[in-house]
Amino acid sequence: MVIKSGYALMDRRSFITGAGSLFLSTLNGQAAENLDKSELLFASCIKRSDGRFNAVILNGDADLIAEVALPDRGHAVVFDANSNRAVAFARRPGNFALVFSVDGYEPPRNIVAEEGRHFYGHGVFSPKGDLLFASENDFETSTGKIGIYDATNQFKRLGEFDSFGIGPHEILLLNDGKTLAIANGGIETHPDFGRAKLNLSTMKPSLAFIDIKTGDLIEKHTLDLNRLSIRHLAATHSGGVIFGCQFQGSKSDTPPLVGRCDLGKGINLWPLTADKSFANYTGSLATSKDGAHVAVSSPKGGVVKIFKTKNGQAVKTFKMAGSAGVARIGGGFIASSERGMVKAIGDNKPDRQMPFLFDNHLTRMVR
Amino acid sequence: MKHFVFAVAMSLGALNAPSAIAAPDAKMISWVMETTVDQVIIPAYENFDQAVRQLKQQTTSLCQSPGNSSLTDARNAFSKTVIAWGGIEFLRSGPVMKNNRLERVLFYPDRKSTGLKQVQRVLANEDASVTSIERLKKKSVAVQGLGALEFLLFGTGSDVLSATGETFRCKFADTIATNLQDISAELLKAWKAEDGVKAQWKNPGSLNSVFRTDLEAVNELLGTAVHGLEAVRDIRLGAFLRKTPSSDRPKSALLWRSNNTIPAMTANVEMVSRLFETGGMDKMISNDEFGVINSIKFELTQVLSVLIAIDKPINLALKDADQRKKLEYLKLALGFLLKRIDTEYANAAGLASGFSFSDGD
Repeated sequence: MVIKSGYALMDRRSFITGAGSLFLSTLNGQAAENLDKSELLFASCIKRSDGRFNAVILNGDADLIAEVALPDRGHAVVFDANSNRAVAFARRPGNFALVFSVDGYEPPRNIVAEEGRHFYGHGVFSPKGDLLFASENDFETSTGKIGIYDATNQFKRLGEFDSFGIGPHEILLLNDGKTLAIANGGIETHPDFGRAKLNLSTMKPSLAFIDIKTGDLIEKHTLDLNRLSIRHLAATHSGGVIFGCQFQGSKSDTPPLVGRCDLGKGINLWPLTADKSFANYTGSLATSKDGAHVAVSSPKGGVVKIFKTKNGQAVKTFKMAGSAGVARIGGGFIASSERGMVKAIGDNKPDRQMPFLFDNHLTRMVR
Repeated sequence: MKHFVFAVAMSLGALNAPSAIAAPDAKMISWVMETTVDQVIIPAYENFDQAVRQLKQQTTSLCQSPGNSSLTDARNAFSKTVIAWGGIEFLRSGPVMKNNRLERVLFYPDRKSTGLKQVQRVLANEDASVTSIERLKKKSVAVQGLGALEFLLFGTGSDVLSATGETFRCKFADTIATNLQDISAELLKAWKAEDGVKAQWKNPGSLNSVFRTDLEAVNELLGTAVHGLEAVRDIRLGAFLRKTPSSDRPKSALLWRSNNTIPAMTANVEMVSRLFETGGMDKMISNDEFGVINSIKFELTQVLSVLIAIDKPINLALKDADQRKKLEYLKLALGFLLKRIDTEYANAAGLASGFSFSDGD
């Protein structure tokens, strides 16, 4: 494990084990069989009709494989194939991240955010799975942080990097395995003010790339529109990212919401994504297996749109009310919705109605 | 192998699937949008416009004829203006979202007291640029609106306004009033234009650049109510009412200097009430078998009643056990009201997952 002296080695709060925050029961036979034979799974945070917030694991047919209780509303799930563990992060400004074993062999472990920090809903494992990075907020100074956790030692917090912006949201590793892309949404929040956006008139979103060994800034890019919050990312095969935005300005304005950024080549919003069908809000992004396409959801617009990753040309639009998570499957995509639907995009499978509501993201897990 | 931590639902059919989503009545939505524009939004902006015109007259008069009486008149006009603004400030749609108009009228939340620091700096330096309307419009939003004007009229050193004429402080205040008057005129003009915002609100549809569907229009109304009430609870009340009396922060209350904290919050809640009772949101649910509307009206009445009962200035109310209990109850009551609108009303109006769920991040 690589921990440089630049880390602030602080005494971190101990973890709260998951007792009481999950369903403790035996995985029944059919589900266990489904789990054991599935190499490809999907995870998402969900809401039950009785108000409970959980994380679920589905197989490629959207069969429910497993369900884990969360302390509160979750946002995104990240997965580490090395350890077969996943982490469900609290929705902003929550302070939990629940680690759970995908095959259910270990009890969940709750990571509580450091004092003075809250999570922003996203994280990513290092390639070897030994470190977990989380987007966090130092809410007294309103500076974005990337929390670093030791996945080999009870997820103890090792320190943090600067996110080089305010309000880091989705983070991901580029395919070089050493560069972390950070979508700094630019929006200041503070737990004292709930989910209120505190700086809309002065927000400065950015896309930063940092070295995961040193935390050094490699590149940082900004957009001309200061109210265009960069929120979500998908990695391209060539080492860049496609990014999705949410516009915090007037509803009558329709700026482009999706673009591409490659290291050394600058940032470009795709003009053709200035599309009112997004209702100024993009949700999740996922690139296709061959890297040629990217799927972008919009829960407020009720669509999933497919674009070419090389130039942002729109390929197809799928109507899906409350579209939430997207992930690649086979040569196409699978999408979830906040109304509980699962849609296979590019496949003839019928849509499937699940008995719960999906949160924004759907995480592909290959074991 | 034993998998011991998961609960698995094998029989999906045995679980309760989300109930069928009722399509909102398009005609009713159209009527509610039109009624809201004509009887809630435009009258509220007209009310604000009238208030800022009066404010401008009074600040000009104060600068020309300083004295206790003219200072009192200007302060009263200020109070009327902030209450008028409270009646529309949580509408986050249309022209107020352009050119930072929202923040220029009232920069808040201001967790780091940026506005106060900037105004004090301007006063200390007698920065003449703030007495030119053209130049003030280009300054920080925090020195352009009601927050800055409150400090000038009520804050430390404001007594000078009654003693001497044409002070820098008074010119600054008068220029802010001009700025507010200009912003208000822009807002009203945009809302009243037949082919402008009004038309967008009244005619949801695929060619409409703001509301492509009826559901988006419903979302806008719900968003105004939900985000407004959340702001009252989390930003306004939460700013000064802390978990224990010893941790309360009376000086973090918005408009505490002018004793307008509670009146402004009352105006905010009254706006939500008007959306339901005047704008017609209370009629949008066609089959209210669970009495959602009555519940909302009951909770609104509770919230407004407790606001009226908090009759001391915030710093004193926080020290008074009875008044502080009322503030705590206000927080609870706002939560009940929010839940009714965010989930029950939203469900009944066709948003199966509730309103806030869409704002996943």
